[in-house]
Amino acid sequence: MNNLKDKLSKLASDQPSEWKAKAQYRRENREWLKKSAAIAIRVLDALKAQSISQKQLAERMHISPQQISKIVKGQENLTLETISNLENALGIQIIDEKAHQNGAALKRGKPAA
Amino acid sequence: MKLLPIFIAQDSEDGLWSIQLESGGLSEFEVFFDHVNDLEWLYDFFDQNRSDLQGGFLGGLSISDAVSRTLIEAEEMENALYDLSEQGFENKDSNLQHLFKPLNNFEYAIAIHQKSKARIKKGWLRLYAIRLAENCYLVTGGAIKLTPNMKPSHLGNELKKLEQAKQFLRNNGIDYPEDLNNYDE
Repeated sequence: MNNLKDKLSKLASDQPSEWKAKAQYRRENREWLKKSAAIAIRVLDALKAQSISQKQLAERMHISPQQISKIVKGQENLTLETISNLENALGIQIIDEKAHQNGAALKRGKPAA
Repeated sequence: MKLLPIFIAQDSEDGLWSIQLESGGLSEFEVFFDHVNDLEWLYDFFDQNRSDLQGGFLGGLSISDAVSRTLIEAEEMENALYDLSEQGFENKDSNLQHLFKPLNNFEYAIAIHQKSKARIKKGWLRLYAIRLAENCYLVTGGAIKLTPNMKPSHLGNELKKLEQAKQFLRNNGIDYPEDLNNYDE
């Protein structure tokens, strides 16, 4: 072992860094994390605009403040039900109406516009 | 203060280290990447620094645009470091010294122990570090830099941590020449 590395190692914590595991998780889940982030921004914008606290939102949605915290951190893999509940609780639209139209078109056997 | 290896070579002094301010806590490197991937933290940061965000230096940006921009930058920075951690230190054309640039933009030579920062193109994310050897860096923290100077308190705090880390190294027999750069960039 060389001198510098030896000196640095003597000052090292015995606790390993978890960064790489976290970075790998973010890489592997990037696509849905981006969607979760976009929703978190919409929610945070709405909370601020309406002067609603996270606790109040949790009460409106009948879920725990911890769950709201995960949502606004953009790290929650949200279900459609939770997204719908967020829309209702905040009076905002998160999923674009166009998605419904495309869904309806697919149902009728036509390609989405 | 302790040091934490983030990723280091097995057979040389090459590597990326970080300071850990509190025993049992996260390294400052990890704290930085946790923050820039946390939507709530980013939203609060830009809300608290709204005047800098919407001042003349940046031309005026909404909080949500700033958060989105930061996420893209953080992804780019983290991916570059992750790729490096996977490929190792053999490739001389792609290693830490290509990611970390001298702190002062007008300083071209990279000296041993030079204070450095990682920077993606014209981005505003900064990862502050002390250069210990050609390809060995000690990260002391990171920040979102919205101003042309280091006056905001969160940037001043990064300068303090750089100084604390320097002192810590000196106290433990890892000495280096006086710095040639300042942090006024």
